[in-house]
Amino acid sequence: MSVGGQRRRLAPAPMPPEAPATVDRLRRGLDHKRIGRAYLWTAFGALLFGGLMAIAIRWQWVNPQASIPFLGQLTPSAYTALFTQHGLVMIFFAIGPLLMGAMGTLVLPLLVGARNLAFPRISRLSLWFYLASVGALVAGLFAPLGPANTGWTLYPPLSSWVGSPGSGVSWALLALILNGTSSCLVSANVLATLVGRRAPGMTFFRLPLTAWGLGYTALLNLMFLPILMAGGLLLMGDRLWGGEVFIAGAGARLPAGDPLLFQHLFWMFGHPQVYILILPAWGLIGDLFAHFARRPPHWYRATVSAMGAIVLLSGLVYAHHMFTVGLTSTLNRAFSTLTLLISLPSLVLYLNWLFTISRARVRLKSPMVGAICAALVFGLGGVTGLMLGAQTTDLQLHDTLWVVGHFHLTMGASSFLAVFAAIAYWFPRFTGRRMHEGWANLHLVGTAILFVAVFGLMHVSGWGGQHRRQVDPHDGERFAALRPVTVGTSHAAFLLGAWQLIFVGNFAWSLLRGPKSEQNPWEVGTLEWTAAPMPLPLENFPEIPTVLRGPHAYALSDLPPGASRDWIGQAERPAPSANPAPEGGA
Amino acid sequence: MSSEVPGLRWRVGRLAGLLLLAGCGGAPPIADASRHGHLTDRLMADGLWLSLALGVVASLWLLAAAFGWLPHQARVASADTRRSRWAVGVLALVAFLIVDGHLFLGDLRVRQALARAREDQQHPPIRVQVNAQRWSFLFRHPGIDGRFNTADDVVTVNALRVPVGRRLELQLGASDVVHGLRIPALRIQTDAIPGRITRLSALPEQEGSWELHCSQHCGVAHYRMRGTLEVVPAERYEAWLRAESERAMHREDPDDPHRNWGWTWRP
Repeated sequence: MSVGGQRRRLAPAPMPPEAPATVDRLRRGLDHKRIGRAYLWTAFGALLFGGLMAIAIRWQWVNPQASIPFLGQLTPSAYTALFTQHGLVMIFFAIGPLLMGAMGTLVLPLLVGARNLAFPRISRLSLWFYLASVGALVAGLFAPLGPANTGWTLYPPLSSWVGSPGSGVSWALLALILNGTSSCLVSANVLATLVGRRAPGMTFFRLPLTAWGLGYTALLNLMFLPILMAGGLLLMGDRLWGGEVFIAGAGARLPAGDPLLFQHLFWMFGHPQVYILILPAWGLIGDLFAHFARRPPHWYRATVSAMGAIVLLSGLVYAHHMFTVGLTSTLNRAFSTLTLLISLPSLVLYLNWLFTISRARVRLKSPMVGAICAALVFGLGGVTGLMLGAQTTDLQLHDTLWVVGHFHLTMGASSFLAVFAAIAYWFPRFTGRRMHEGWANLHLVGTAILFVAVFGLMHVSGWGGQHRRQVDPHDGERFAALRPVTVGTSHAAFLLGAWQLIFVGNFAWSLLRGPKSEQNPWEVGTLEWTAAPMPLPLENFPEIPTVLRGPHAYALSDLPPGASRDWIGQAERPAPSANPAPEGGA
Repeated sequence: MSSEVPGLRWRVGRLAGLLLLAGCGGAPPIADASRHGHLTDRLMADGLWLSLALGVVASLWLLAAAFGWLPHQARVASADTRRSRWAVGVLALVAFLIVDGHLFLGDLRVRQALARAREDQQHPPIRVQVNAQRWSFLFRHPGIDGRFNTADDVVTVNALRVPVGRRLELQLGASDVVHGLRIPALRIQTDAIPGRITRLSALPEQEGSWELHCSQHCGVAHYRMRGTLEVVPAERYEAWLRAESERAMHREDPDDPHRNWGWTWRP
């Protein structure tokens, strides 16, 4: 009975005695933790599916004639569908929901000191939309004439009836529109929570950086996702209702359509999207660096402003994805300049991370190891993007594996590592148990090294001129010199896939058998660890805490004189013997 | 007490960084057959070195800080001082100016050089229209009369034949979906988009046969959509064009739907 007895159930919050059972059930159903967990598990499923597809892609690259387990030998049609679905699944169904849906829904209310997200019903609605979008995506896999195989960029006319008869693309568009609706709802909820549900005393500059990252992401989602959804709807109109908005050339009956319009709409969303997929991770890295270096983050406000500057710039750089479409040289130059400008706030952000941990005594616990790996991988991916910002160099690398390696490192690998760091960090908070440190560290470090191997080698292939989206990359002895690189990339990818079993095993073991966690295992001061009791009750905080200080109060000046520990809770009142802070301090 | 060890580790780290740089530096290993390709190549090499240097410095710093290879600081009121903030600002600005500035100015210089090269021409350029379609490139030469869409146009499939040392100007269209034309040996790439005309130009300077291929995903056989650029001596080109042009006039089939895809050359 001891094991069963240890299984924790959420203790119900104090309820008015007259509350009927249905109301109780409703409140449980609307709890952000429950909704967040549903997001987490669904996104884990998507991650597994997307990851297996990545393995299949790399299998194909080693030998296009080989038979892939469970899939057989891939036809060009199946292979193109494979990389299309991999992109869609990973971006819209795995990384995005893991960061915003799962992390945002699960931890944001705890970070700001709220009992729930601002709009619990909208939160549940967004989950339903997400699940519906997963349904549409899966339905698309079984569509007549095959799933969408246009690449995740869905450029018309390839994605219109001209290039994609059958209903695969229509299902994919439906999935994107539903998914976008879900993300917009989550984002509205996150913003509303940040604006309206902060605990008393929780000023904006006392928010953990993770909360800033989530807020910025929400802003980007709300600004730019509707553009993608509008583009998707217009494309749907072209496909199903006889429109010709994006169709030109031999298939057009009217002279007014323009395929480029879709590219503008797509990238207007598509570039901010890469920041959508990394901003929450940036915030988390900033927080974890501070917590585990036992220091306030270096120049908190500059980090927040740098993230804000990147958010602003992200909407003004999108046409660097379109340097090859023949825009005017003035436009190209403007977009190139703005793109290069993004490195300035990015450098400030990165340097602030470095200054936070430099010369500190860093506690290399698994969340910190994950954050370091995420920052490292992000830095390596970030620098290879510089050459894609200048037109001359971009034109030599456009559509090559250099681009693929670059964006996988920044918004794929780095984001996933941050997700793993977040899981290691908040696992005790939500389960009451600790993950196994050794296995977690082994998984994180190995994953980071393999990520760099896989996508670093892709840079080499791209540098040698190898293009992406090749059914047979070495067809007719092309790029023979790059063959070892291709094979090496694939083998590293297989190992990377297998390496994730460590995480699966550790996660499952920790969930069931992990050692019990104390209240504040990482000794940090943020509200979720210091103001909410250990089995997390239904509404998080027995009483809403009054916040007195920032989230990273590790400096000597932040602590009461004679403090025996190096941290203090955000809402913690110093012991009466100490001098009471007169006005809450700055 | 630990001042020796971090110093040693730093030296090892620096050495590893230099090795990495030395191993990876240089322009892409793709043959260059154009007069101006070296400008692009130099910027590519510079960009790679600068990016790698930035990446290596950032990564080593991160690891050194994480593993405590930097000398520890005593616990202070705050490590976040006026001086350290200045350091962040200055370092960010310096790195930005060096790396991005070099790419920006280099890009500007290459673009200007290419534009100038397009302007000054001793000979009229060789003009070719390209129609990209799934999954081949059609190349239309204007024939002897020098005008497009006339009966003497020479149309080739997947083989672009041009004379050496003459400026090549391409105008591209696509009839079905978005394609791209990349000719790595000439360091050029652009998309071919239904409903509009895009342009490329280069000056092939080395005789030989070079690959060209589609650089935008255009469907299941995208990976097979490629052809050759044949750079031949000027006399051979003239002779070939004359012969093909005359043949084209004799073979003219007014009912051929592919006959008239050309367009009046856009200025």
